[in-house]
Amino acid sequence: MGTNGEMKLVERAKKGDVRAFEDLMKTTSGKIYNLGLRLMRNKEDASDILQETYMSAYENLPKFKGNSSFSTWLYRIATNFALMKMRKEKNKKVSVSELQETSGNLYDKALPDWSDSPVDHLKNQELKEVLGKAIDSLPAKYRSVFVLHDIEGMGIAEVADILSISGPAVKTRSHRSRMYLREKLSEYFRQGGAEAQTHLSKQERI
Amino acid sequence: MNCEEMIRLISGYLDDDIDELMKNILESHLVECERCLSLLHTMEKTIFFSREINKRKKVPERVIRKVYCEVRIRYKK
Repeated sequence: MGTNGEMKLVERAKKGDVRAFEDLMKTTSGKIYNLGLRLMRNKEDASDILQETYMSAYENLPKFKGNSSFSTWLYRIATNFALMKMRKEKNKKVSVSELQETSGNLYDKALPDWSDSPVDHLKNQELKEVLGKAIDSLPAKYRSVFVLHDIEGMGIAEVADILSISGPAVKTRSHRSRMYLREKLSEYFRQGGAEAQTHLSKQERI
Repeated sequence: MNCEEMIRLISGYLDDDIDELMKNILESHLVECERCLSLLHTMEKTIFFSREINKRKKVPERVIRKVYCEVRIRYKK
């Protein structure tokens, strides 16, 4: 839906047209649910975020002036709810100093190149878990940048706008998150994942 | 420029967010430095794997129905 069509629906929804609000939900609920799922990595929280986002959007609709698109505005609301939830999480998070270290002090380590690993590797539950846990262990302000920028595919300016931070802050957090996750996957391949890689390569040759 | 300085450019390079001069410097370095090239490739693959394990899922019907219900109740008030 174009921005004009979206704004017309917003105006109708503001005047009390529930169908217009439902149409807005139809076009955006998939995005918001998946954003919640990607940020929180569980269906219950994603469902809560979806509900909280639309309830808050309904309450705050009169304040929406259309300075950003309706979807971006919803993304901002949903991300804020997710950030509140993330800060209550009890799983262990990597410290910011470790993130800084991972992204700087690299060349004293062996650096395996596992970039040829086939996507079939993701059928391996262990690898999915390693990566999923590593994403979960990113502190809230890093995970939100990684999810919005690298998984949702938003540009740096849009991420900065949604999170109300500067572009350089987005770039720094994005780079550190990528370096940390890359290192976690490297550890996996160094430790035993390499065996799986060799095994798969042999199978492919057969 | 050394490898550490190059690493800082790699994310910007993947985002197509560095200027031409820096891009040329990094590309020349990558031709000679296997470690930095490997870092670039594995970082790219990390992003790819992260997207693969986070593919879009359908919103469960009962969840969406509940939200519609809540919205209707509020509009009636």
